[in-house]
Amino acid sequence: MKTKRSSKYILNLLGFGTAISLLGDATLYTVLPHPDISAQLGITLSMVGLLLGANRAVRLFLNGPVGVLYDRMPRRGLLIAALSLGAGSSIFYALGSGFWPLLTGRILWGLAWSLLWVGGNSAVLDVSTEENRGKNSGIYQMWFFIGVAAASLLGSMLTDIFGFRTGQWISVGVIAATDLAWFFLLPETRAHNASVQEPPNDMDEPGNVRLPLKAMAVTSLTIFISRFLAWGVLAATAILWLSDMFGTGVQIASYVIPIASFTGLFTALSNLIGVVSTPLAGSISDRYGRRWPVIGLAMISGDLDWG
Amino acid sequence: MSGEIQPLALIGAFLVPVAGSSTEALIPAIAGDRVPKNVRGRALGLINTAGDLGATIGPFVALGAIHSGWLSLGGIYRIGGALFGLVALLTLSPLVSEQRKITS
Repeated sequence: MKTKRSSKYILNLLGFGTAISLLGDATLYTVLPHPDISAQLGITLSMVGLLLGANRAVRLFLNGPVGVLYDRMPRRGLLIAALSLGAGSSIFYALGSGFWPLLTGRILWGLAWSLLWVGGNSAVLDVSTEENRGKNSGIYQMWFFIGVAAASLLGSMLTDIFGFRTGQWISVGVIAATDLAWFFLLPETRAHNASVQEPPNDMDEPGNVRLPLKAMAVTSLTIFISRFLAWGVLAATAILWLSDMFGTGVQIASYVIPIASFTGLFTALSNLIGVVSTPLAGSISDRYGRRWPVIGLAMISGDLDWG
Repeated sequence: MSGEIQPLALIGAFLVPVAGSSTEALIPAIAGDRVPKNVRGRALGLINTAGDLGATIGPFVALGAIHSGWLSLGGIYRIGGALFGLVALLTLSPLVSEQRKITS
């Protein structure tokens, strides 16, 4: 008889794998805009923008069907397949030259991330109870922010030490090894809290159950505005307002940090804030049994800056 | 645009990631609270599509508005502040903040 794994074990295994999966993708964001690297891959700088946005664009069409897939199939197999696709996308980066092979890699990564993110969050909800759902969701997000920060740094170091293509092969090896670990260690989570009483309509077929429209509308609007402002507007304009404030660089003692590097530092610190704030926000919401007021207060803190 | 953005904004700019990351942590938890288990995948897929749409169009809207001269950087941020404020009002209103867990 199989031993039932603790939710903490599953949560951290999922989070670690999700963080590792970002290695190939985060490296591209860091190094691809460099003219030497893009020239080495046979692409122009204008193509770089298209390639970096392609994975996000395909997710607009993939997230919905992927969600339906997770309602009908076990999580484990799809999550392991997702990590395999993530490693596969890095193979395209390691071997590909020119726009189309790299675009194929980006589309593959879009599918991989859609499967990882929707599936990872579904699995986190599977292993959580009403009392720790916020904290667990926060810890999973924390792993994401650790992944973005660490993968950007590690990926660019690998590129500097071994070159872009060898660096990507190392990423393939690391992601594949993590996938193997998931294959042997990650349990199926769908029936994890089977003893916990669920609402009656949970027994129905997924196709017969209607989503709560009001909750869906408010959550979708909130995350749309949040990502539009934090990941879209602020991230894209950070270098503009930092240049407005500091000019071409920031002098610290006798060192001058060029404004592009300083913007990178700002972005890295922003991600580190997420490492702290996500489990904290989740825990607070669990403690008081209310999540929306915590989001509201967080939004007010964002408003203090921009308003 | 020089001088339009105040140095204090550098400290304040770190509050935007606090708002963004807290939202990222709590929205899936709300889906867990409010959506029956057997359709949570569909719910998370749709919610993430909305989020990805925001992240995808954000840079185009902001940089497009600045480069076309339609809005200044400060103007973009003031609109951003207004949007944050509207969502704060919505989430703190009794209509939304009183939404309880489906299992309670």
